[in-house]
Amino acid sequence: MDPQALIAAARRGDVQAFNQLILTYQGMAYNLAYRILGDGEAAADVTQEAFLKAFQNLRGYRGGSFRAWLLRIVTNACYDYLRSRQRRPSDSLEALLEESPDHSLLMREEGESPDDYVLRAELSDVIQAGIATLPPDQRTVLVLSDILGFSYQEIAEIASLNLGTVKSRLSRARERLRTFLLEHEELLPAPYRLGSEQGRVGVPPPAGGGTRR
Amino acid sequence: MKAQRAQHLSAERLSAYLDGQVTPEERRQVESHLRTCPQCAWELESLRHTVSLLRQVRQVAVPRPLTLREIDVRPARTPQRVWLLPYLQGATALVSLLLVVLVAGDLLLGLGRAPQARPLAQPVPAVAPAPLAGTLPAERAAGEATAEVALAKVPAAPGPPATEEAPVAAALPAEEGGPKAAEGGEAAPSGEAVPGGEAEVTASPSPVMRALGEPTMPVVPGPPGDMGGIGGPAALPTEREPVSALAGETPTPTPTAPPSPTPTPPPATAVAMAPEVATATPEAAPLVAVATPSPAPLPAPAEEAAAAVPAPGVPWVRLAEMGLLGAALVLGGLTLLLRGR
Repeated sequence: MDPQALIAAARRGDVQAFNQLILTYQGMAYNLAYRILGDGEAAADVTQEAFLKAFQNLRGYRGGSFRAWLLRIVTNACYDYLRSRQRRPSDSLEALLEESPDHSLLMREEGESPDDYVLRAELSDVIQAGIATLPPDQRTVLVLSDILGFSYQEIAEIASLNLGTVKSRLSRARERLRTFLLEHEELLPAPYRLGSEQGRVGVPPPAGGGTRR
Repeated sequence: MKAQRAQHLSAERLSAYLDGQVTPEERRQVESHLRTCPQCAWELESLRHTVSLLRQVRQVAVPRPLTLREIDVRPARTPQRVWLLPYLQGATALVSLLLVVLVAGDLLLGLGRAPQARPLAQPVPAVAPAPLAGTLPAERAAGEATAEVALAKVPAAPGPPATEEAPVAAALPAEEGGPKAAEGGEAAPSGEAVPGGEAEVTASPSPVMRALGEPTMPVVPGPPGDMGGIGGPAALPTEREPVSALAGETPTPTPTAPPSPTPTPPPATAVAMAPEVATATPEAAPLVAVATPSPAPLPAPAEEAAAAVPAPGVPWVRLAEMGLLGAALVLGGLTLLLRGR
């Protein structure tokens, strides 16, 4: 059944039609929520609540990208949740690392060796800890772009931003995350370090006196 | 080199460059700058590395199906409403507390300012106990009230002797005796029933007062009209005041209660009866209770009695009390409704 037909049926109150749409998007939506919230259980709850809200407000969907519309609802639900919880801002890195994922959640890639899987799991933990240090609006843009692979245009739609804001917010998020990774390089598995052969970036040259434009 | 340093590439431009989100012109500028500026080159590389790490973070599996069940959808419950509950509960508690404080304050202070309390008391019985006492009596009472009030004051001085007869009057008269006493002023009613013996002290409740009044000042009761009352009692009340005031404070309701319950409602004279109504019917408690003390000290001068007949404006305290009661009921109802969900 094509998505527009499912949407139309869901609008008439057909929950099963809506569930088919959910099955298409739940992975994406859950991963977005999971990266923004850093908590698997909360992410599942928030995502499901967002789906319910979406179902009840289907009339608010006026064409365009259904995926973007749905993910916008999920994003806003995440913000609401964060606001209501007022996450302790002073979360220590240890706490963040401890809290982070269940590796069982992480999906193993086809053909990935167990060693690689473990390394990637460690990397994911550190990255997640770094994301958690960003303000929520930067997390969203960073996750959408660099983990979920959305285009600027789609990000703008999901986050209700203009392209310029997407660009600048994304660059700030990346800068901050880079700083975090440099400061906690020892936490990264060796192959992923900036100074490693793979990373081959090395130490930053002494800062020049110029201004950035 | 100097010139180039002064124009390091912004992180935003480098970031956009990484994503291919620059115009061809911008791209040329960036690339030519990078060739000569190691710092910007490093910036770009470190950003590129960061992004590549992010890209290796892969998806996590959905822990459980996030589909909706019919049952989730039907109640259409919005979780947001729940946050209202604590506020509603708080507001209900606050309003109730205010009501209690106001009523208590009115009760206590009302006793203190006997004279003013009088006019205050009048409207209340008419409004609150209306269903119990019936509106008719209340109106009829208006006329008689004055007479009775006058009587009530009279007893003040004679206190002791009155006591013996007072109770008598209180019991039976309540129903018919009340009006009669006012009109006829005959001692007859007084001799009938024998309620609580302590009536003396409790002078406040109307029947008792009436009874008291009759024996002591036979002259006064005689004239049914207020005029008679005004002339005679006017002087006495003042001395009497302390007594009645005290009476009103503590014993008032209890002693009179036995006789009054039944009889009171019918005659229910706006002013004098108020106390009995309060004691007799618990439902009316909050509102009527407030009224109770005021009539007790009524001993106010006769002019007041006359003044009372044309109902004075509803005092703000009453309004506030009723407003608060209404608010408390509405809030409480809402709270219950919400909690039920």
